[in-house]
Amino acid sequence: MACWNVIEHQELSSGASSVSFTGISASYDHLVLLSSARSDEATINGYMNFQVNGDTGTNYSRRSLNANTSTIGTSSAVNQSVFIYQYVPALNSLADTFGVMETWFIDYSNTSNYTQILSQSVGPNNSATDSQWGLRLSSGIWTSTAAINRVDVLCDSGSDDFVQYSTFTLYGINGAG
Amino acid sequence: MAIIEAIETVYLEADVASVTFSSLGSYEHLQLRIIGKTTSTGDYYALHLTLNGDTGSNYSNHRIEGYGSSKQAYASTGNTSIWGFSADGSGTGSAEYGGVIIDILDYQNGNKNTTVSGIASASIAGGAPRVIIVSGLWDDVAAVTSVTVNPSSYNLVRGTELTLYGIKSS
Repeated sequence: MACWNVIEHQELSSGASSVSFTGISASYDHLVLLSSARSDEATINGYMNFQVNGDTGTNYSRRSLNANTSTIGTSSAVNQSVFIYQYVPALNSLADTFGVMETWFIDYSNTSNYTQILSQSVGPNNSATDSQWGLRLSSGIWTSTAAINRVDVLCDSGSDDFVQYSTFTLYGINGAG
Repeated sequence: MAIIEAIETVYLEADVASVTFSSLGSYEHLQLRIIGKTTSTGDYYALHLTLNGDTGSNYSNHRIEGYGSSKQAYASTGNTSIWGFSADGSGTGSAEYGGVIIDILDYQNGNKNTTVSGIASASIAGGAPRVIIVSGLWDDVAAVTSVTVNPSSYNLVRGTELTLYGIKSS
């Protein structure tokens, strides 16, 4: 049995404010999303967020370790309507530059526990100036025990667009047996 | 069908200045995993990554680094490599090597500069333990056809192992 399985790969042919993965089978142990994305927001660092199962309620919390200056910071937010605020390069960063993000949805179909996610993102740029680049490591929790069957990836909170050529690949990861 | 395949593993039987992977196959993403040590006499030393043999000043690096009880972030541009993936130096115990995982996404997409994300550790049992997150940018939209790893003016030592994986998207 294959350990990694491609659930769906999407490459944008034009801008889109969100990307959705629906009808996700509960047959895997974990989900991993790899994305190479860029935002059209008129700034340098844009953001990528998630909602799951179409839940737009304030049921998401997060804690992050991040840097976009020489000082490493931490942040947290509870009872939010989205998670996880990962960096993506935006309109005013170096052209043709896309961020790298890897996100794990751990035990996403276990109905005994809230779903935890772990995510790492980098917002590369050809600049060493404060706030013109970014790295972030985040953990998040969705305070629901429902199995995840849908993941929506939002550009900021759905107010901006991921640009053409942004890619999103969702993998299902099997355990043994 | 395997979604992740090992493209090539290189195990060093002797010290070398660099290792190059030049048959990358056709995948969506690449992942490079290294257990490495260098001839630098310190506890750690940065590994450098160059793509397609380009040694021009076309790379930018950003990283978060925790060492001992200290932490700091760094940024630099106009570099001749993506660097900061620290491996152990020869100042650590003979059995101690640093671990590195580097993701190179969409490496064949001719519409994107190649960007990488990585994590690394070094000298965890030694005197200057480090954990690092690295962001790297190659300012070139060319498809990546080769990946070279070197520790600058030092060598990679015997026992270092590098494996390049290809990750499919269908």
